[in-house]
Amino acid sequence: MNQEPGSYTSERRQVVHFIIGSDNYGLEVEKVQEIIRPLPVTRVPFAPAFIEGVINLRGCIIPVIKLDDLLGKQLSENDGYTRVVIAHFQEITVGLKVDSVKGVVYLDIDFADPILKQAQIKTRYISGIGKLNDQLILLLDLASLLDDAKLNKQEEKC
Amino acid sequence: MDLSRYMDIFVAESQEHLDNLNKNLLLLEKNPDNKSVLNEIFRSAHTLKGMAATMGLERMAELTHEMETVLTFLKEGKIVVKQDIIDLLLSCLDDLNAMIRSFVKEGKEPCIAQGLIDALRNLSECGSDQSQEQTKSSYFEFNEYELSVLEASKESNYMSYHIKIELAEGTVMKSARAFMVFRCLEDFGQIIKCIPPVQDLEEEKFDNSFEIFLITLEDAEKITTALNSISEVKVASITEVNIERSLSSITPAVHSQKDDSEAENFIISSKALHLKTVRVDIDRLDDMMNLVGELVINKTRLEQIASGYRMSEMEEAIEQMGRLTTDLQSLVMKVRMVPIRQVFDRFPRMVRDISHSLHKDVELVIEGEQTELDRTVIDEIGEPLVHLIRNALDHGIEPPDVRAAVDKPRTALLRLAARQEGNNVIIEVEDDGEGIDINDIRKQAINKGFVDPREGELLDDKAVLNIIFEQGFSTNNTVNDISGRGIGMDVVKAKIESLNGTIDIETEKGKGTKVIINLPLTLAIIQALLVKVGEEQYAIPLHSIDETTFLIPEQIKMVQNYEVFLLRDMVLPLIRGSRLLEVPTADQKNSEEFVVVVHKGKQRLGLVVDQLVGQQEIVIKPLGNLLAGIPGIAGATILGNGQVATILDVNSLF
Repeated sequence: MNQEPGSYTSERRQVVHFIIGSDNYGLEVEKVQEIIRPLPVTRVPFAPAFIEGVINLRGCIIPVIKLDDLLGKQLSENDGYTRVVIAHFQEITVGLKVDSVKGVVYLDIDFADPILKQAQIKTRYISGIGKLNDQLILLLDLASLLDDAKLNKQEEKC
Repeated sequence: MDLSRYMDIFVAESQEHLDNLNKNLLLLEKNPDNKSVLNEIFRSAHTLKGMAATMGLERMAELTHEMETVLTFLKEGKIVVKQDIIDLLLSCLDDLNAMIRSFVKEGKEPCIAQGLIDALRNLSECGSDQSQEQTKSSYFEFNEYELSVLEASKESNYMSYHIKIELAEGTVMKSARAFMVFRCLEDFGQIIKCIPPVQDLEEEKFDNSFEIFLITLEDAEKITTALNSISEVKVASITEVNIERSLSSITPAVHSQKDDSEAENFIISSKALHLKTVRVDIDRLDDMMNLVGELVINKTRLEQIASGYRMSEMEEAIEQMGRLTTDLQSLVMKVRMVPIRQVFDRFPRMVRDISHSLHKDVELVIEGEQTELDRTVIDEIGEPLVHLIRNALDHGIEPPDVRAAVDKPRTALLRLAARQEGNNVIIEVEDDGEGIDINDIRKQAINKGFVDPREGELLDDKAVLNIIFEQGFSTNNTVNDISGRGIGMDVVKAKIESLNGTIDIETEKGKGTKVIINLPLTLAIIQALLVKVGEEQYAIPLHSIDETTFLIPEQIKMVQNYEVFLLRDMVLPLIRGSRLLEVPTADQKNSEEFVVVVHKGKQRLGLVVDQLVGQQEIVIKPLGNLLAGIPGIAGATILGNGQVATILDVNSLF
């Protein structure tokens, strides 16, 4: 990702396509370690509110983030399609709970702000947008998401 | 050629050789006549030289080359081992160490050590001056055992032969040929010695010839024909050994044989160790540990599933698997263990240097250096030990004259010992110095306001000694005796406690001081009490728990709106687990609750929980980068059923 912010750029990316609430989201495959069925989550006391808890992924303890809070969406009840996307970014591994995973697709992603604004989408945590047939897929900005997560932690500490 | 990828190996190996050199030089200082130690030193220096040259470190190669020259003269007896030579060689090691470090940091070699190189050259010049007149006593040497065998065989009419074997030019598998020769000769009699040693023969570290001493009843001709029938092997000469002759040439070397053989054993064992080890990245071990843990959890799951079906065949198989995983787990734990020798090895040098500079005579005794500890503990324990040893040398041990005046041997004894006791390792640092005057500490503590004067008089000796560990406490300005014994002891204690260990002092005035450190074998596994708060399980480290008891409602009192609990003569502040941890509960009143009494230093408080599940060994796992550093939580652990339980950080409750 070395495009200028705000410029009109379009790049072909391979993304994991998943659904949160009624919206389509995507995350670059490079950042996805694996996708698992939900595991029992242990709540962590004193942790920031958007952390649902931790899971045991083959012996590693991984925090699960409640995306619905951060994105202002409502996750639907666990209906058997719910998955946890294990994402990895800069030494941090997190689980993202999503309503369902649709698959892996190639998308032309626009990293241009105007389009996002036009579409009236909350642009925080979204870095780009792509079209799949007639659906819009929002590319999650994992970096800023985790950045904020850390920031929140700092506040929690004080 | 890009050498950077060999960097790690180079650094690790040269470090090993430097440590080796250090150790052996000190050994040589004690036994100047010990040839095998000298040989070992020479080999290490030689290897270092080769490695340095390969990595393009010319200064380092030059320095080691000069060291090698001096060592050669030592070996040939042209220079005598003296303290100044050892000093010089040791400072060379320090410089080599510094060179390697700056090479790692800056990627290039620093320009130092010219002074040392010159000093070494001077030395070797003196050596070569007086060298020529010395006759070379090249006659083979036997040790005591070999001599006794030779003598005994002579008495019972056995013949001893000295056989020189030559292999044909261009023999491919020399070690195999040597092996065949051995096999052949063993049919005739007993081989008592070979030159070079068997190990070198096996590793093909010889040219085309070697020598063997054989005791046999057969005559030389028969042996010769038998040997010559092996292809590519030829007997160059076979002579009878005249023991009288060899005896006379041996005698000078015999006198320090006993020390020699001990040191030799040690060297041989360390060499054997080298051949059998593999370097492994610690991260890989962690990964392995994780996977094994996962295997255990999956095994438990299989057991649960199988129990629903009552298939005895399957149960057997699962039981078998259970045993295997348990073995595997303990094996992986063991792989992470490192002998404490790694830490102890640097102390002989340190003790030597410090005691020289303080003009004190100290003999360092090291025991139990093969005791093993988890890698992480090993990395942390060095610093506190250095501190304790310095303390003992500086303040504990008296100067020789003072010792002589009180009828103690002039040479003081400093004992460093490690041993395993159950799941703990005990490390002791003991000196036979002047000990600590407990009353003096009591006075100091009262004067400096560490304890209340009235209380101070009542404190027992042990409690007084513990004051040493308090921050800022020092007896530095006491008139005589124990100056400064307390400096930095709070740091030592903090470090030990961060490793979940404990530290104690025993002392007797005039007799000495003993510091006892008790450490868990591994940091990754601790004993913990599992408790339930609401439906959630938490682990509390056992070492911070004093006791557990029922919560009796009548014993709860309110003090300034805070609940306190009366336990015997103690008043404990109470913390409700459910409130503290914000546990979502259905708020149903439990029929009984429990109080877990935890402590931090001398403070105590009671944590109210709903259920005590039991004591268990747990594996501590980090919470990951995102959650690391959350106050109140020390980590997490995975329970038998695969669930995660968080570990409470008791210290943060206070």
